Amino acid sequence: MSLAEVVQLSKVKADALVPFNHRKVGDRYLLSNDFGDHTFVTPKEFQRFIQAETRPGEELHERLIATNLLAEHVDVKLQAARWRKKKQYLFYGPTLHAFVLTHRCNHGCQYCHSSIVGMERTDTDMSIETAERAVDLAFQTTSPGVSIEFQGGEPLANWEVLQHIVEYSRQKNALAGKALSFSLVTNLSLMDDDKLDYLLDRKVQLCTSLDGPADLHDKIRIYKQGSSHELVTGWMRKINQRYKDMGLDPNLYRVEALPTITRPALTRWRDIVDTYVSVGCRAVFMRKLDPFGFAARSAKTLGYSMDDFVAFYINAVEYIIELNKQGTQVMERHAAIMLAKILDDAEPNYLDLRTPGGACIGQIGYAPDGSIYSSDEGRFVASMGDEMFKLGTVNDSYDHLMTNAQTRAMVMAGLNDGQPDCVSCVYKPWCGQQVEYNYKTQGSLHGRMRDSNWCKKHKSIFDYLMAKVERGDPEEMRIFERWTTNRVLDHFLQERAPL
Amino acid sequence: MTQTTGTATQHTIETCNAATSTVTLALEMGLYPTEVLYGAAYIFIDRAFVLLDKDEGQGRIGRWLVHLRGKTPLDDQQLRALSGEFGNELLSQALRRKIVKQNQKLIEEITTQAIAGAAGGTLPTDFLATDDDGMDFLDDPLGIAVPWEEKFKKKKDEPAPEAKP
Repeated sequence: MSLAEVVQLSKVKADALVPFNHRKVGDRYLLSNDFGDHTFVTPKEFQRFIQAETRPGEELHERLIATNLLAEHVDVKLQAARWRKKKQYLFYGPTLHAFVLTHRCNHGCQYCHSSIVGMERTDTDMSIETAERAVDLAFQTTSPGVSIEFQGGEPLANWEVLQHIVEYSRQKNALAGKALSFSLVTNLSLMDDDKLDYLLDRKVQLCTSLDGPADLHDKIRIYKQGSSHELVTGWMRKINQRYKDMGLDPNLYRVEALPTITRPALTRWRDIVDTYVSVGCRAVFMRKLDPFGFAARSAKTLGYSMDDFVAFYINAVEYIIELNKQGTQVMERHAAIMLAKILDDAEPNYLDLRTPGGACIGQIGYAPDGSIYSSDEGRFVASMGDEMFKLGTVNDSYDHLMTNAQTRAMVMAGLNDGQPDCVSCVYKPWCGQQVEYNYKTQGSLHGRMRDSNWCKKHKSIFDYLMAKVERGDPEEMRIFERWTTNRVLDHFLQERAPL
Repeated sequence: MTQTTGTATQHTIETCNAATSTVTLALEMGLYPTEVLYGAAYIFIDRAFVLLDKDEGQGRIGRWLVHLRGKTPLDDQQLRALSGEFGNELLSQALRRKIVKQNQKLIEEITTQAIAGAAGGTLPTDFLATDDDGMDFLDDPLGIAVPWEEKFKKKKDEPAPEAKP
């Protein structure tokens, strides 16, 4: 039955229905509302729903009530409270503070989106003074949490300042009492035992890049002094063992890693997943090549179409599901985030999939020279010579950064409610956009979702996952349930008590 | 060199010249608001030199002429793709304008809350109690949220039953 046969506009009882969006998934229609409820209906059920023909006692009627699709049955207070809880991020400022400690790096990754320089360029390091000013700003956030992420270049190259930020932040937090955490994004090449001892002692979470098996990784992540792969996997195993020795649950505490998918990787999903499993990872985040920095410049050799990526992604997730069925616990993190939103009514505050997006009010980026950007991506755009996303400097006031015209424009542009396509998309309650991506790829903060690769990627993944949810295979649903179980990594939170 | 001409009705390629990397679009005036035309044109200034012109002949509907000259050499196919993208951007801007107008209140309220929340203006006192679903803020003991029409309608309508035949 076609949609034209299902929907007879003259018979629609609009007043009886909560505003909803729909999309054909399998043989049924997926319906969703702005609260984040969803259900699947057959064409016949769809017809009865929009004509308000269902009656109490019918399974369909009760299901429509349970999913808040029938207006007269919506408990407004309850739904308002639910909305408020899920949109908590509207009530506070940025939690994620990305500190670029230096532009120096000893790798020459072909897709690097940062503006890296040689290791001799110590003039591109963040100074102690700038670091302290940046920490002072970060602690002015109205968020109850401060998550400081060290980035580069290779942040371990500016070890002294990294340590200083950790100590200074901990001192500040004795008074501020925030939920403070640190993470370090590193290629691990400058790691040594002393540094590791310090990082573990100070509960700094470690994240790295691993593009898959050695031939793939080393081809893209070029390290003149040897095999980057050997170095990274060696440290990952060692660090995971240290976590275990510290008595931390090995199912939860592991080095986080993510692969960047390049053209040569498109046929290697099995190898990539197997590599992750072999070094003890329980999660893989299949990251698409982004349009920033070297990645933009190397697109001709490493790039691919979004269709290619989606095909790769589906193959990879299918393989991961297959491994789970065989008893290996591993997840794809992007899928897990989406499923948590859909199946668990959760809001993981993943900045790429929220509305408004995370620019400025969810995260800010601090460059070594004290410039402040809307996000990581904002500074990537800057590294290409365009300061569109520079909000100010560490010498500006926090209020100015949060309320200036740029911030307001980015928040408004990042709202799905003002975006053609998004307003009528069935995935609207779980999706979001990134203004920096829109700007870089389509020339404006708003972009055009209909021909945006951002939209295509997310819609394709939602379609894939929703088709699985619609089929409801019990074994796969059990696997998804495991993926969406929220496990808080308390260990990485700094103590709130005065030092 | 490829060059084409056409008679514009609503939105057409007037000329397309790969030798000069130039394409000219003709748009019927009134089809899109001027702000939409400016907004779409602005999006292209990093890739093309953009010139907007009017063609207002007597006795016929006037036209906007949009001249796009690529900043780098563009072949016929690329020029046509550029003009197609311009058309898409026009439609997208026009539609977004309508949607933003329709959802203006919602957009303003969410944006205000987001900015105020970030700046510390309206942080709820119970914010840290994340499991608190208290909805006291929705209570309206003084009836402030009751629309004026609703509040006074009853009084106004009270004599009505008597007036009925």
